[in-house]
Formats: sequence, structure tokens, C-alpha cells
Amino acid sequence: MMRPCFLLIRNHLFELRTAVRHLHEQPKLKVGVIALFSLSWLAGLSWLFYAGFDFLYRLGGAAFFLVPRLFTLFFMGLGFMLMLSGAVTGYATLFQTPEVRRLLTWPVPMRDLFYYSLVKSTLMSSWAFFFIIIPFIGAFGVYREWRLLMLVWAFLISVPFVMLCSGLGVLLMLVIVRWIPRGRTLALLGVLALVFAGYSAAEYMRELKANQTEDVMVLVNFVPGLQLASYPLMPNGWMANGILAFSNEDWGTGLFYLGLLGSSVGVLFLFMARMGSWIYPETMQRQQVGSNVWAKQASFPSRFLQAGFPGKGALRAYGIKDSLIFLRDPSQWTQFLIFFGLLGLYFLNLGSLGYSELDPVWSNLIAFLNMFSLSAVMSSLSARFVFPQMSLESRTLWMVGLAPTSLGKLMLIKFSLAGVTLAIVGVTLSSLSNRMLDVSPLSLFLSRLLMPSVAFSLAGMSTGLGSMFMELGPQTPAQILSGYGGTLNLILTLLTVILVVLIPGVVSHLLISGNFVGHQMNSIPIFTSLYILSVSGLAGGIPLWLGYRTVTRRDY
Amino acid sequence: MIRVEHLQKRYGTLQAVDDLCLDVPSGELFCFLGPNGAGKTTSIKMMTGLVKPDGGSICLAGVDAMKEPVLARSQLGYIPDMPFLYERLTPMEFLLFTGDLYKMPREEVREKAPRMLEIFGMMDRAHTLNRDLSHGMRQRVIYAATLMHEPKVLLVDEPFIGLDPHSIRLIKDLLREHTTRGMTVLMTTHILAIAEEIGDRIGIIDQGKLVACGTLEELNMATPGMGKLEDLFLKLTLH
Repeated sequence: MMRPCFLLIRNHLFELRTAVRHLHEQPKLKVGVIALFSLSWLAGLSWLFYAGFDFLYRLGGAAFFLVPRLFTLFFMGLGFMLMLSGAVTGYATLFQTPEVRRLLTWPVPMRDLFYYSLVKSTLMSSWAFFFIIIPFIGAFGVYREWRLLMLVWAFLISVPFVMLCSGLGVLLMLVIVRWIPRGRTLALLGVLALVFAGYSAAEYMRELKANQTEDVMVLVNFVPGLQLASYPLMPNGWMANGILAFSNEDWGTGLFYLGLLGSSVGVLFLFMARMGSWIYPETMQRQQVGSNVWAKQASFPSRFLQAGFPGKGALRAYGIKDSLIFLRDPSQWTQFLIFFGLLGLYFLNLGSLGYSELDPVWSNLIAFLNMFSLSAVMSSLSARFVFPQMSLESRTLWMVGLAPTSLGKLMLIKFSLAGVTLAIVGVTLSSLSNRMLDVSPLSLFLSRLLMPSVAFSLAGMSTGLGSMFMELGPQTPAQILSGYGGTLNLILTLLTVILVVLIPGVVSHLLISGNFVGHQMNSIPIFTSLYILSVSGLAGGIPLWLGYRTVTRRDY
Repeated sequence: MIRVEHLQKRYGTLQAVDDLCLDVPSGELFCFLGPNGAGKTTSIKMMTGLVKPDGGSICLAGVDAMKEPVLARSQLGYIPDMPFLYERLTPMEFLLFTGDLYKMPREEVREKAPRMLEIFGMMDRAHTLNRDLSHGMRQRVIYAATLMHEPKVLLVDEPFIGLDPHSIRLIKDLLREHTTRGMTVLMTTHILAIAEEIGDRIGIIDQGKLVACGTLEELNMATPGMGKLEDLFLKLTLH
């Protein structure tokens, strides 16, 4: 008889098969957008990687020294992201999903439930990363004119690497969730232990630096993180060396690294299966009982917000409520932290890359590209968090719908809170980028106008469309987003970003490059500002007005 | 206190509520009975303003709910059959949220919120996340939040689903106590024994129409030979 974990996996495969068979029943717009986005992403990223390799190999002999180092750095970054993704997805899969809670009541042995959740979380946390790895390896292979067999081996080695990093993330999460201290004193001890671990790691890095070769040390001064990436026991190095070995048709070395990664995955999963069967039941029990079941007083964020949140009435009520729920929901703050944190780290690193000493034309161009990336992230997060808000609030209409405030006002409050939050994040990060790039006063002025405009435009569009396509009933954010309204919102917010950021970017580039003369130099910034304000105003205002009409006229 | 005249609501070809007229005076506990799909929840939702009527009028605590919906809602409390609570808020935070939403003065909210939790026996769980509370405890939080702003009219949809005997007794006593103090309560229930026990008057709705209305004695007199409310209910609603 088949083991329960295999039965559960087989069940999921059946579900996948059914989903594929019924693909034609999905909204055409949704399928079309996903297919177009995926293909454009793969093609665009492949082209960018290809251009990057072309640039490096045009440097001559230095490329043979630089490429292996950059490979290790690239895979280290990818590895850390995979670990983070593994930890977050693993937590949700192992402890938070309704499926796990349901299976706990079924006659499924705990060990099988753990194996099943482990496989599921590893797959779910890692599949998207192949959309980065495939263009990277593909572009390198095409540039180096590999044979097909070499490409196959290079892709093959990425499978254990992805599983290893994602699995390490799940393991890390499991250890933290099982042994994370609860209570104030224990939490303080935990923080002290982390500080000590950080200090030890820094000391270790200093020692490591002393043992590095001279050529690596020269590069380390230009490329942050290379020193850590070059550590020989890190799997990113095995991955990089394996691919480069296959590219040189050094089959022995390539297969050695493939074997090394494969066996490491085997050992890790065996260890996790053993350890998981041992600690998973206890950890699950710990998770089932809330940490604050017998709390004697309100938490610090709660007291802080109650005492200091500005405004009154519904605005204050929703401001406090949304802030507390955001802070207490790891799936919300981790997504914010990952996306904006990565951008913040990249902007901080601009200083060490010496971009501030570039020609103003270049620094202006990079500043606008940074604003575009920032706005694109803001648009996807507004689609994820702002669009479903009104549908999610519909569950509390028994209270909110009866409060002496209209639902139209509630919609405007949601818009204001989302707009202010996005504007704060956008202005802060773009200011960081501008500071690191030391941009011209014109770029600085346009960026200060652009980011709040984009923020309120995206908030208006997502809130308005979210109200027009409001779903009543117990829906999850994923269910709300996957409908027609969610897809339309995603497309329109991206289009807004293109219209509001890219066109002023091009105009400002032409202006700084000296393509305009005389009175145009003065009138162009004024027209650009008016363009930004009017386009963002219309893009946010029209859906907001339509949404307002919908919420005030419909039945609930 | 609740005056509903010739209320109509149609969903496509279905006449959900058909010429409903009700008059519930101040301090009365009115039980609204009817089989599933009879139009109870739609009627209540029209009274709350969540569903717009096709015709008729609704007057709550002397305020025309169609002309002055915000003022009418400020006099109203509504507890649906399966109310949603924010999982990641604590009962105390939910009460403070409600107070702000109802524009109550901050000092009053801070003084009242603990008192309401105390009344409902929830003070020791005031700072526990709602997701860690049992169904009965959640219901208590919901009652505390709804009654905090002292509504003059309370609409309750199926208040006793899934509750233990302690919670049922608590809610029954509470509804009785508040009606004694002048609050008007309109409650739907499928538990006929409870309607018999605590209802001042009983209304039976079927296929959108009010088919019977009065005190238990009046209903018994109007339909001789029907000893129990259950028999009367089945006779009037069995098709």
C-alpha cells in the first residue's frame, strides 16, 4: 500500500493535471497576460544577461578572471533569496495552511505529514527561481556557443542547488520556530545570542579576508559581498564552478560538483526528515497555542499606536487596525521587507560602486531607472495588498457597514492610508538612490514630484478597481486577485508606471544630454511636471471615482 | 422604535420580501421566525441599509433610514449569524477600533471597553489574539463591541448557533436586561423554544410575507388546536 505522503503528493499531481486540462476555462485575459509576461520576462532577461556577458568578454583577458567571481556572487545572491523564500513558504506550508490543519485530524502519521509538507514547500518556494536561472545559463551558453548537451548538464546542476538552498531555508525556519524564545527575558537573551553570533561571524570574515588571494582582494574593494561569495564551502561556489567546468567541457570536474550538490541535498533532506519527525509535532503544538493567550497587557505596538496615531474617527480606527494587522502578519511584512529591502540594499551599494562620480547624464539615467524599478515594485505590491482591501473588509460589514460612516468614506480612507504608505516608502528609497548618485537639481525635483504622484495614482487605481470588482464572502487575497478585476488592475498599474515614470525619464534624459536649447530649457521641466500631475491624477482619480459610485450604490 | 411599511425586495424573478409591515415598540424583544430562504436575513439587511429596498419605508428610533441612513445606523447594532472578527487583533483592540469607528470620545472608549469585556467575562483574554479564542468567546467579543455604543435598536441574526449553555444563558439574560432598559431587539432564530421563552412577540415570515404576528397567546388564539409554536410554525410554512 502506498505511503500517505506519496498519496498526498500524487493527489496534488492529479490536481495539477486537472488544472492544466481546464486551462481553457480560465479567463482569456488572465491566461494571455501571464503567458505574455512570462515570455517577455524570459526574453528580456536573456537579452540583458547576453549583453552583460558580451560586455565582460569584450574586456579581454580580464573576463576569464572576472566571470567566475561574478558567477559565485550571482549564485550567492540567488541562494540567499532561495533560503528566504524557503523559510517563508515553509512556515506557511508547515504551520499555517488549512490543509495541514485538516490533515492533522486525518489518520496521517506526523512523519508523513512532515515529508509531504517539506516537499511541497521546497517546490513552491523554488520554482519561480528557474525564471532567473534559465535565462542566465541560457544566455551564457548561447554567448559561449555551447553544444546542447552542455546546456542540459548546466541546467541539471541547478536543480540540486535550488533544492539545497530552499531546504536550508526551511531548516532554518524550523529551528527558529521550534526554539525561538518567548517572553521578554527570553527574547532579550535571543537578541543577545544573535548579536554574539553576528560578532563571531564578523571576526571570522576578518580572518577570512586575511587569507584571500591578492586578485580577489582587489575585486573585493569594488564588488561588495565577493569576499563571502568566494568562500569554498558555500554551495554557490560549487554551482558556479560546476557550470564553468561544463562550459569548458571539463566533464570530470563538472560531474564532481553535480555530485557534491546532489549528495549535499540528500544528506540535508535525510537530516531534515529525521529531525522534522522529531521536532515537528512539538513545534506544531507550540504554533497551535498562541503566544499571547494569557497576555496581561496590550503589546507595545498596540499601546504605541493607540497613544500616538494621529487623526480621529474612522481614519484613526483603520490606521491603527491596518498597522497592527500588517505587523502581526508575516506574509505581509516579509513581502514588503524582501522587495523594498532588496531595493534599499542595492541603492545603498550605489555609493560603493562610485556611480556618484559618473557623468550627470548617466547618473540621471540610472536615477530614473531606479525610480522605474521602485515604481514597478510599488505597483505589484499595490496590486497584492491594496486591490483586495475592500473585498476583505466586506466580511466586517456587520460592524463597518453599520458604523456612522459611509462605505464611500471607508474607500477614501483605504485610499489615503495606502497612498501615504506607498509615498513614504517611495520618497525614502528614491531619496536614498538620489543621494547615492548625487543627481542634478532637475532630477531631484522631478523625483520628488514623481514618487508621491505614482504612489497616490497606484493607490487610487487599486482602491477604485478593488471597489468596482468587490467580491463579497470569505475569499482569500489570492482568490480575489486571480479574478478579472485583479488581472485588469495589474495591467493598468504597470501601464500607469510606464506612462508616469518612463516618459518624463526620457524627456529629462534628453534635456540633460543637451537636446533642448534656449527657452525650451525652462519650459520643458514645467510641461513635464504638468504631464506627471495630470496623467497620475487621471490614472488614479477615474477608477477611484468609479469605485466610489459602485460602493455607494450596490447591495451587500 | 422599528417601523417597517410595505417593504419590497426582488432578486431577479424571486420576490425575497413581499409587502412586509412591522411595528416593534421600544423595549420589546421581537422574534422573527421563518424557514431557510424565507426572507429574514434580507429583511434585516434592508433595515441595516446593507441592502437597498425596491419599495417601502424603514424607520428606526424615529429616524427615516432611507433619508438619513448615517443617523439611523448610529442608533443601530447588528449581529449576523456568522460574524467575522479580525483574527490578528485582540478583543481590547477590536473594542477600541469600534469606539473610534463610532466616533465615541476617546476617554469614554478607554473607560467603557474594559467594562464591557468584564461584563462578558472576557477581561482575562482582553489581550489574546481573536484567532486564539473559541467560538463562544468570539461571540462575547462581538456582543461587547456591538453594545458598547449603546444602540437603541439591536438586530440579531441566529444568536445561539454553536454556543455552550453558559453563553446561551448569558446572551438570553443580556437581551432581556437591555430590553427592560428600553432597547428594542429584533432577533431571528430557528430554536423555537427560545422564541417561546424570551420573545415578547413573534412574527413568522414565509416566502417573503409575514404570515403571522403576535404574542404567543395571540398566536394560539388565532389558530385554535395548535398547542405548540412548533405545530403552528410547521402548519404555516409547510408547502
